[in-house]
Amino acid sequence: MRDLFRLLGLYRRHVGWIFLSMLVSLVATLANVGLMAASGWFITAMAAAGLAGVTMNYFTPAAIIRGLAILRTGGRYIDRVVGHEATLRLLADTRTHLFARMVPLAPAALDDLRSGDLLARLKADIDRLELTFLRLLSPLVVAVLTLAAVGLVLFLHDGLLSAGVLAVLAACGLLAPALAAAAASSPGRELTARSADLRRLVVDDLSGLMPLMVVGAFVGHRNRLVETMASLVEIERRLARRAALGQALGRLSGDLALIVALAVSVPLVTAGRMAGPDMAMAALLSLSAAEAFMGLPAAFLGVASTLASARRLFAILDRKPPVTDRAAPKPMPDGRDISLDGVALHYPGAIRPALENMTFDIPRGSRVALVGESGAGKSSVAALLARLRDPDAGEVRLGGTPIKELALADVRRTIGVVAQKPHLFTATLGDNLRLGRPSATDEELAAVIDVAGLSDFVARLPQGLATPVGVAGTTLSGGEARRVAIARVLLIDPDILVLDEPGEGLDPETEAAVLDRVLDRMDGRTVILITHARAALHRMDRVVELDAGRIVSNLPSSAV
Amino acid sequence: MSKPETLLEDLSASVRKETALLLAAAVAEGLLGVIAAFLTARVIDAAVFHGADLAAVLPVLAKLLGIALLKAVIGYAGAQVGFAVAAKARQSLFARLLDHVAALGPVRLSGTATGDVATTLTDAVSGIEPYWRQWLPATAAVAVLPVAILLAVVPVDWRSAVVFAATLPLLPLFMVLAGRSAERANQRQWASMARLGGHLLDAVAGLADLVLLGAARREVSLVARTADGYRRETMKVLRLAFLSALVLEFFATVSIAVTAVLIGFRLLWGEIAFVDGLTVLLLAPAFYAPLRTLGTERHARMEAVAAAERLADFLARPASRRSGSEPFAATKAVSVRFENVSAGYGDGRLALDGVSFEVRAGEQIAIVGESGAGKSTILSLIAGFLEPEAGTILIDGRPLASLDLADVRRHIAFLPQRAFLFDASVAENVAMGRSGDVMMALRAARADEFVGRLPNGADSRLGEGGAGLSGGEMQRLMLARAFFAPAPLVLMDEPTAHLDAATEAVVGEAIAKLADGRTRLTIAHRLKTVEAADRVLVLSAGRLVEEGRPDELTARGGAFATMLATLDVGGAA
Repeated sequence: MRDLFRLLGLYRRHVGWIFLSMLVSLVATLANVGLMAASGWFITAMAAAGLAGVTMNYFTPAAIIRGLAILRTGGRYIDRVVGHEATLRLLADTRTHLFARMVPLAPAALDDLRSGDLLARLKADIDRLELTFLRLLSPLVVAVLTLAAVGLVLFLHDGLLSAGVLAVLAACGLLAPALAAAAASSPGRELTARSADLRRLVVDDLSGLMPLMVVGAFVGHRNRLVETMASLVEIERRLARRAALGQALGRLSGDLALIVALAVSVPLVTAGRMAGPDMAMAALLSLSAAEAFMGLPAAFLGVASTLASARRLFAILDRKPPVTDRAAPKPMPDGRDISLDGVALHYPGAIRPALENMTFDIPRGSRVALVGESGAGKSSVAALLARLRDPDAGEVRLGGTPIKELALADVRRTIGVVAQKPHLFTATLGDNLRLGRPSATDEELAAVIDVAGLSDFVARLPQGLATPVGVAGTTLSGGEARRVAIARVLLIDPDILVLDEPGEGLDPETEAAVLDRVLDRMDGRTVILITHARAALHRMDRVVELDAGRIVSNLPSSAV
Repeated sequence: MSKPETLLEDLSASVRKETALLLAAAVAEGLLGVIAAFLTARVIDAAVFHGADLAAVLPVLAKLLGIALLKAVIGYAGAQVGFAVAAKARQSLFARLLDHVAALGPVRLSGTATGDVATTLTDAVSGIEPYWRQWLPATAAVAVLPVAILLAVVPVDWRSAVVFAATLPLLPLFMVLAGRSAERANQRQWASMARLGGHLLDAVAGLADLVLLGAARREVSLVARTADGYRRETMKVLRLAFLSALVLEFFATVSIAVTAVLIGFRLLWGEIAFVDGLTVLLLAPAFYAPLRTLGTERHARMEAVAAAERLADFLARPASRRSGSEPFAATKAVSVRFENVSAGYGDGRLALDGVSFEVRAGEQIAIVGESGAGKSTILSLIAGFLEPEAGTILIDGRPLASLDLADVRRHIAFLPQRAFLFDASVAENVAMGRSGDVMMALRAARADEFVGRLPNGADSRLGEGGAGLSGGEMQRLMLARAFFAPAPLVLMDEPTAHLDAATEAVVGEAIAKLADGRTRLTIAHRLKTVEAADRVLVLSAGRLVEEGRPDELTARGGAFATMLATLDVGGAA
C-alpha cells in the first residue's frame, strides 16, 4: 500500500492533467450510457404515444439523443488525446526524475546495472509504471463514478431497483475481477521468479554454447530449457484460468444487471408505479453501464506487476549514494601528488577485501603501472582515485588534502579515468568525443583524435565525425571504442590520467603507439597505467604489483 | 505477406483445430448476444404494452439468464482455449529456436550480444501470445457478426436493415484506411516510446562515463528535453491518428442515434411494432461492437507482429548444413589436413582464403598472425562451428563434412582465452553431464588445492560467470573440464593470455601435460608458446604466409621474424 502511495506521489505534479483526463473520460462514458438509455426511453414513449393516438414533445428527447451522440463521439476523441497527453507528460517527468535520482548513485551503487539484463528490466519497469495511469487508475475511477451516477438515476425511480442493479454491477464488474486478480497474485509471483530462472538458464547456456556443444552436453541443456519453459507455461495456465474467471464474470455483469433491472421493474410497471418508458430506460441503462467495467479485469491483474515494478524501481532509488559532496568542500590544492595511506576497501558480499592496508605515493608527473592478476585490486585503486567510492579505512590524498574534503566535480576534472569498459552513446562520433567538453574546438578535437591514433579511422568514415555510433549506429570495434574513450578523456585535459587496460582489443603495435603518444601529451603530468600486459612497462617509471588487494612489490621499472 | 505474418500463420497451422475452436467461441458469444437482444425486447414489450406481470415474463427471464451464463461459460472456455493455443505455439517455437541456436552454433552467434539472443528466446516468444489470445478472436467476430446481425434485422425491419447495409460495404474500406493510418501512427508512437526508452537506457548504461566526464548534470536536462520533445512529436501524430478512431466512433454512435430517432417517429406513426423497433435499437451497438474491438486489439496484433519479426529474422539466419553421419572414433592423436580451404562469416569477406596445411598426429602447432588474420577461423572450422566455402578439411584422412559432428567434437578439447563457467557447482562445471572422476580431473589440472579450500569443495556452487574465482582459478577449472575426458585433439586460444606469470607457470605445466602425446593447435600471442611449438603457421589477411619450425622461421627473417618483435614476451618480464 505504501508503495502504491509512493507511486501516486510520482504523479503529483500532473494532478491537473490527470483530473482533466478522468473528467473527459467520465463524460464520454456517461454520454455512451446515456445515449442508450435515452434512446430506449424515447422509442418506448413514442410507441406509447402512437398507440394512444396522441402526440408528444419529441423535440427535447431527440435533441438530447443528438447531443449525447455528439458528446460521445467527440468525448471519446478528446478522451484519447487528453489521456495520452497526461500519460506522456507523466512519462517525460518520471524518466527525468528517475534519471536525476540515479546520477549520484553512479557508478559504484549501480555496478550491477552494468549487465544489460537488469537494465532491460529497468526499462520494462518504467514502461509499465507509465502505463499505470492510462490503463489502471483512470478506468477504475471512471468505473466507480459511472456506477455512482447509474445508481443515482435508478434510485430516483426506485430504491430496490437501484440497489439490485448496483449490487450486481459492483459484484461482477468490480469485486469479481478484483478477487480474481488477488487470487492470481501468488501464481503471478511464482511466474516472475520462474521467468527470471528461465532467462538466467538461457543466458547461461547461450554464453557457454561453445563448451556445451564441444562436450556434447547441449542436448541435455536444451531439454532442460524446454522443461523449464513447460513448467513456466503451467504456472501461466493457472494464472490465465483465474484471469479468465474474472474476465467472464466482468462480462456477465451487464447481462445480469439487465435481468435484475427487468425482474425488479416488471412488477413496478404492472403495479403502475413506474412508467413504461422509464422501464426501458432503466433496462438499457443497466445493460450499457457495464461497458465502464470492461477494462477493469485487465487493470486489476496489472496491479500486482505494477507494484512489483514500482518496488524494484524504488529499491534502486533508495540505494545509498556511495560518495557525497561535503557541505563546504575545500578549494582544490595546488599540489598534484597522490598518496594512498593505509587504504582498505571491502565490497559488500565479497569473500575477501578488495584492498587491504594499501600505502603508496604517486608524485606529480610520474608514470606508474599497476599490474596484477584480475581481481588483484587494480581497478579498485582507480575507483578510489576518481572518488567513485570512499575507502573503508585509510585516506586518499591529492596534493596533501584528503579527496573526501574536495568537491567531486573538482576531483573528476583533475583526475581523468579511461574505464575498462567505456560506454559509447547513441550519438555521433563527435558528440561522443565532446562529452566531457562540449565547447572544445575542432583543432582541440583533431589533436586528441591524433593522439588516440584515430585520425586515419575518422578520415575513412564517409560522414567523418558526424557518423552515428553506439547501439543504433555503426558499432565500432572494441579497439576503436577504447581509443574513442581515451580521446574524450584527453579532451578534458586532466592533470592526472588513469588508463584501465587501454590495450584491450588493440594489437600490440597500435597499443604501443597510442601509449607513446598519450605519454608525450601528458608530459609533466601524472599517468597511471593499469595493465596485465608487460610489454608497456619499460615506458613507465615505477611498477606496483598487486595481489589479492595487497602490494607485492613497488619497484622502479628498470628493476622489473 | 510479410515474414512475421507468415511465421504467425505457420504456427497457427500447427494448432489449426484449437484455433478453429477459439474462433467458434468468439462467434458463438456474439450470436448469443443477438438472441438475448430479441428476448430482452420481448420482455419490455410484454410488460409495457401487454400488461404482463412478473410470472408471465419469468420464463423469458430464465432464458435470458441461461444465455448470459452460457455466454460467460463460452467466454471463459474460449479464453482457456486461446491460452492453450498460444502456449502450444510458443512451446513449439521455443524448441525450434533452441534447435536453430544449435544449428547456428557459437561462432555464427558470436556477432550478436548474448542478451539480444536471450531476449529473442524469452521475451519475443512471450510477445506473440496476443495474436491468438486477442487478435484472432477479434477478427473472427468482425468477419461473422455484422453480417449475422444484418440478416437477423432484415425480417424484423427491412428499412433499418438498409441503414445497416448501407454502412456495411463502407466498413471493409474503412477498416483498411483507418487500419493503415492507425497502424502507422501506432507504430510511430511505439517507435518513439522505444526511442525514448532507448535514450534513457543508453544514459543509464553510460552513467559511469557521464559521471567521470562531469557530463551527468547536462545529461539530466537532456533527458528532460528529449522526453518533452517526444511528447510534442508524438501528440502531433496521435491527434491525427485518433481521427480515424473518431470516424469509427461516429458511425457507431450515429447509427444508434439515427435508428433511435427514425424508429421513434415510425412508432409514433404506427408504422412499426414496438418490439421490432426495440430489437433493432438493441442490435445497433452490437453491429459495430466487433469493429471497435478490432480497433482496440490492433495493438495486440502489432506487438505480436513486432515480436514475430524478431523471431522470423532469427530463424532466417543461415545456419550450418547438416553434419555427416559417418561415425568417427580415434584413440590417442589425430591428424588434421586443410586443402585449399576458404571460409567467411557471410559478410562477403573471406576470413580464410585458400589455406592448405597438414598437422600430423601428435604435433604441437602454434598459429600466429595479426588480429583478423584468420587464426580462430581455423579452430572454428575444425570444431565444425563454421563450414568451408571451398576446399576440404580432413580429420585422420577422412573428410570432416561426411563425419558425424557430435562424434568429432567428442574428440576435441577446447580451451578459450577467456574461461566460461556455468552457474552450477564446480563438479557440474567439470563433468558437464559426462560420467567420470571429477577429483582426478581437478588434480590433473592443479585445481584440487583451491577447490578443496572452497566452502563445499567440488560441490560449491559458482555464481554467474564463476564469480569469486580469480582468472587463473577459472582457467584451471576449464583445464579440469578438458582433463575429465582427455580428447585426442586439443584446440586452444592462448588460455594463459590473461594470467600473471606465476599462475601462468602452473597452468602452462598442466596444459603441457594435457597436450602430451596429443595433437594440439594453439593460437599464440606469447613468445614462450611459439617457441614451445613443433611447428608454426603464420597467417596474414586470411592466407598462410609462412610455415615451419620456429627456429627455421626466425632465421629466415620473413613475416614471422617481424611478428616476433611485437609478441608479448610473457613471463620473461
